Amino acid sequence: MPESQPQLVSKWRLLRMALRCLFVQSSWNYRQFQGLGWSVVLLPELRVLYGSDQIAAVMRKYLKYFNTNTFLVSSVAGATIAIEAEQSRGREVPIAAHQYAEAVMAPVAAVGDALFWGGYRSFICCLTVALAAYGFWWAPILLVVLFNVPVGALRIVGVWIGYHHGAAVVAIVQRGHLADLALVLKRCTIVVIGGLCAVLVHSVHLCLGWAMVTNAIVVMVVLGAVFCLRKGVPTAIVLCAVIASVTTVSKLLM
Amino acid sequence: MNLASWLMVVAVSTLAGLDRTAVASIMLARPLVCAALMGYLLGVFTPALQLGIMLELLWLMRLPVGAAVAPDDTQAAIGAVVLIKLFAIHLSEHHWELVVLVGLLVVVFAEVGKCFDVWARHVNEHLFLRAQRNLECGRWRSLVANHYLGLSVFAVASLASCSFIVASGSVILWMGLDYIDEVAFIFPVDGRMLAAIFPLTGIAAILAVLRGRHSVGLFICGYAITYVLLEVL
Repeated sequence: MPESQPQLVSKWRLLRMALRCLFVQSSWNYRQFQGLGWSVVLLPELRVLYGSDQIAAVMRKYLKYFNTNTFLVSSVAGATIAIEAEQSRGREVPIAAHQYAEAVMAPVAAVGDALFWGGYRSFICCLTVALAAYGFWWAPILLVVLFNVPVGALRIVGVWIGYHHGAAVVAIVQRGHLADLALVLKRCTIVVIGGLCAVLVHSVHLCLGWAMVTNAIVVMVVLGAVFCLRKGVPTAIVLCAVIASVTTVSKLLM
Repeated sequence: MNLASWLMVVAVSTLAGLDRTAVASIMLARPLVCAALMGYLLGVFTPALQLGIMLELLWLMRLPVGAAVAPDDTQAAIGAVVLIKLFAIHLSEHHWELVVLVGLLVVVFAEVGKCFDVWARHVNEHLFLRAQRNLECGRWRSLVANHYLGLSVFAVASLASCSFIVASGSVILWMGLDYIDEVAFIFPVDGRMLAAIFPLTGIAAILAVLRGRHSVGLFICGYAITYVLLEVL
């Protein structure tokens, strides 16, 4: 939406919409996933644009299957409302707002899930577990802060970016190279879990000879567990098997 | 545990459960965070933090996206801390044995706990259908009511999961703790080492999912650099 035009939806209303996005999964179900939540996110703004007499007809277009990333949903909501605002003024738009939302939800979900759930969350959790294992009791607080500062900012700013750029918000997401960032974070996570492994072994306080043996055993146990898990063995069974094998080896050595 | 403690358990279990499934995702639901919070409120912070470390990585890569439902590690962590508090009398004598035993129990129960989550999602289908029917009749305000009713469904599912874990765990521990000396004899390894096997298995679970080029090399590099740094420092 060009800056020169008066805003149909105020900044305060956009902020409230961003806050409603926090609840987008509150009625998640197997039939339409976030469909009901998505309708409720847009409802007050669509009511401002179309009035109470037309709102039921407008909402029927939105009350259907919807599923996207929970952290980027505010950007999609902002863009959708921007297109709806154009439509409500009687201007031509390249794509109808509800069709736009249906078109972008899957690509946004793919990028957002890989970045936030698969990349950033894993990295932060592994880092804070390593710190907690080393003895820093405040690691859980650090986890919450490190995750929510950038993600929370993105949730709030995302709705403004979406509203002001409209359909072009997808291009902005693409320019951000979020998929590449997710890949980098995954590689960092692997390095951090290597560090965590070392912290766990080091915490046992062994002499140099035993430490070398333990290091080799730990790396072999982890790689063996990776092999089993990749073959589809459940985590609980692998865990019990590792405990049983370590116990057996210890008994044999004793 | 007194009534105030149980009320705190209900509050944390509900808030963490909602954070996991229905609201915000601010990471309150991560086992490291909710176990530490629960432990702080119940006065068993140290074993609670140890349980959080043990459970945090096990299902980290089971992403809560789309229709995928991961084992309920949130309620498992909270339930584990409640079990530690209930059987805290044994902590002084059998600290690591109790922590590892509770950890193993909740790992199994977490798989059952996800059934409550699946149930809540099926119940929400009825809310959606009701909202759809009302909208067809022009009653658009019911969208909001039905949507936020889903919160209470998820809250009930979280509490049910936590109750199941605490109840089942209590029964097993109540029967099993008489034999804890025999169990400690069967598992003669240092308890700290046994507890470390949990995050090590979690690390393996992460590596099993993060299949990338140079994964093994990066892992060993991180391991070697950190170990040398810890030795030097």
